[in-house]
Amino acid sequence: MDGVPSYIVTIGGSMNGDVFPVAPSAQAPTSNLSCTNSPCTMPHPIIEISELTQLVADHLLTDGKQSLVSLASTCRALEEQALSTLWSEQSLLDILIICTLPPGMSTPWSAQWPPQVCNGGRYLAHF
Amino acid sequence: MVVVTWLISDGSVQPTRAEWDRFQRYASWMRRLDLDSRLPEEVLRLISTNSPNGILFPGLQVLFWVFQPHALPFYRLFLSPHLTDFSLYYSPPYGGRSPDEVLSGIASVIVELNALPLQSFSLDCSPRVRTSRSLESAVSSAILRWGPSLTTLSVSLQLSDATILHIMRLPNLTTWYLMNGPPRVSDLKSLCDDFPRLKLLGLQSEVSLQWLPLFEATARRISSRHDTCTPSNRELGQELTTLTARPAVSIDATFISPIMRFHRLTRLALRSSCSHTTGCTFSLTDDDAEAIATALPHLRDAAFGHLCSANSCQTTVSSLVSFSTHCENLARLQIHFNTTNLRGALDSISANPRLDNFPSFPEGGYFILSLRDAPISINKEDAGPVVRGFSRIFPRLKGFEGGAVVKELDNWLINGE
Repeated sequence: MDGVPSYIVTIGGSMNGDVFPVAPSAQAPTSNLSCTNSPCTMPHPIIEISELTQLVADHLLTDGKQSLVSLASTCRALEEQALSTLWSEQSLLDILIICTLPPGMSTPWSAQWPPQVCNGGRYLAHF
Repeated sequence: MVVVTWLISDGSVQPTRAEWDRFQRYASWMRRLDLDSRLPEEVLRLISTNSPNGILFPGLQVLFWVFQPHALPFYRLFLSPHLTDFSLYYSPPYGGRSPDEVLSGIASVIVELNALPLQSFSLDCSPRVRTSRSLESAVSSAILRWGPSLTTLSVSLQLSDATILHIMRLPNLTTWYLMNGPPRVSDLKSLCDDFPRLKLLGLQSEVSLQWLPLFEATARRISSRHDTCTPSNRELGQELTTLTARPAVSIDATFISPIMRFHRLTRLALRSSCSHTTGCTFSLTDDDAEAIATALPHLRDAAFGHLCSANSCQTTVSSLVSFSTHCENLARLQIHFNTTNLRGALDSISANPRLDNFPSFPEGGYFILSLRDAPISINKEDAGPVVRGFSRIFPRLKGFEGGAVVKELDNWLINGE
């Protein structure tokens, strides 16, 4: 996470792979950047500024795709942005099929690929 | 293939609605698609059936498509209104369809691109593909509809003269690979009126080589003030950094002369047509090489065709000295030179005082000398002196391109033995 602005690191208090359960019905926004309650029920409103989260995702992309995978796993509120940026770099139809559809839809040669290529269809672990 | 077909036709693996939704959600994020269409037709059909709005990648900007006929009925899946870069490569077989049917199908794909604000368009058909009026017509029509947004154009088909004139007036075109020669219109005496400020020009056919003398004639008319050019074209070709010519040509002073006006060239790729039957078609001299190297000092990659197995060319190792001393950034060179008594020639050239005044090269620089097809036979005891001779001419020499003899030289270069 070197080079990431500090205000990003403090969102949710963790960038180490924990997944924050985010309630679908949002409550009133809190003013704390760090979400220290457990479980965290609210993303900070700053996360709803898509231009900002896009900047975060773009920055992480320069760091390597694995960083985006980590971001997608860390915070549900950032998952969409992280995955969309990650997949904007993906160019193979085969991988799209393998990661999102049942195994029977896979291409003939994809059977040779290790199962960990995709992780639950949410992202590409091999990035 | 059998397994996939069975699973789909059997119906035992049918994605749920949620899985299709996820598929489409992820597809919507993709901006680039490298499509080689190895997917079975059954899979494409199933995807098509489950893509209700007919476009699978609504945000797609770049499509590189190695076209295969079985994907033809599904092409709309891959066209997005945001497409800016489109490349299609096609080579037979025709997949059980007639050639006309396949080429008409490709034409219908091209027609669909008409309304898009493309920045880059590339259609590369293998030389084995028959020419097709319908395809040529579709491509010409599409290009005529594209305007200032176009920056890159590569078409391996003959286009209409009207289309070529239109292309010549595209203000932002910087890369152009073409098969056509200059348009056959009576008033086209020069390129003064309109010509894009190209950075890359790729001449893909023999007739397209006719652009080179036209460049030279225009430059002469400008310098003799016979033409009143638009200001942007007074320095015609001065922004060109890459020139490639696919057809094998006779490389002589006349052919090279127009090229020497492109002073900013960093990459020049030419092919000679030497063979046992036609003989060597490379007829530059050491003086020509000196003139070229002087005129094109920015060259980084220069190829003048494979060396001939017959040692009949007039250039000697002196031509290598010209390039090494004038082109400070040269990283790769392929040029004919006489290899008779190579060790003696290199020993002799090593005393050339020009080789004592090299600039200090940047860190990490390298140089590769191509000796492909060179008629070189070197005794084991000559390998070291030959490598030292080449290294004297090219201080940044890091390797050789070529066959078995080259491996021997490479071994000496790397291991010193």
